[in-house]
Amino acid sequence: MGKRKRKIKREVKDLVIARLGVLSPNKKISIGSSGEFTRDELIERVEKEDEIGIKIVKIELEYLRAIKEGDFYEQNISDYQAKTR
Amino acid sequence: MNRIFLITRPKHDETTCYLFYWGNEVLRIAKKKGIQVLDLQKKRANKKELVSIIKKKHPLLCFLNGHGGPDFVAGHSNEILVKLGENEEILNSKIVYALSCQSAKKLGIGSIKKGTIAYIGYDEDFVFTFKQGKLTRPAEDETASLFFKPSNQLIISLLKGHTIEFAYNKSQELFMKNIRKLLTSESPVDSSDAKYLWWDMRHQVCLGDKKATF
Repeated sequence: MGKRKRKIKREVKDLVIARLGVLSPNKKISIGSSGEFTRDELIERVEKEDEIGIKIVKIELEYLRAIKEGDFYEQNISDYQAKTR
Repeated sequence: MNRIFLITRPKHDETTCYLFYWGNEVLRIAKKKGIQVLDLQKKRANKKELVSIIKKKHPLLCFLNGHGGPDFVAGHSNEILVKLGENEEILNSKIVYALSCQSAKKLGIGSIKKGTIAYIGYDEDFVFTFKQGKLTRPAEDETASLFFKPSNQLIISLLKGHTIEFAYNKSQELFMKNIRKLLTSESPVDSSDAKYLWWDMRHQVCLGDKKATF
């Protein structure tokens, strides 16, 4: 059986894991019907690149993109929504 | 005018436990405003009771809490309450806010086609963080409040008689306010929650007649 192809680039994975590492260990994250996860469980999921891991990467990348584009400093939310939808 | 408000709020795991308790804030306001409330809570959040009470009472505003998927919203023990292609017509002539993952993606769009006035929900998973150990007192969890206050704001604005557009914008503004608070606060708050707030804000969608009111 061939080795499973990686879906996430190693550098992206490392970045996401490093950022997850600063989450408080006393918190849990609810991800809809998928359940509730601790920081360490999320890191494990990202490592495994399962469905939850991929979602976590997507959340992180959307957020980093928004920071880069300065979306948090938009003056008007409705203008922002109109622009992006 | 029909001012009947229906809420479904199952309580069978950690996530639904939070939805359940945070629903109390909305109920208090609805009752204070003299609005008739139909509260399908815990085991009563099942399909049979939902269909029956909708047929009998014709609530105009429905707040559906629970797990979900692109084409359904679930209730107690994840029993599917409303599913696209099965019974979405029960939402006909109603304003719906679904605090339920992904349901706006297909069920929301499908229900609008079948006559739902407006459907506000999420086209992705609704994500929130909470403190371990607060499960018996979710309403006191400041971390969770960052997520549930903006969500509740939407339904509270509707209960106050504002338009759907206004309610949606107020909710969006509160999400953004909380994000900015986390990013700029000098207090030792955990700014890592900002990414989950951003996710929820971005994936909260409003479909249908935005000028409608409850």
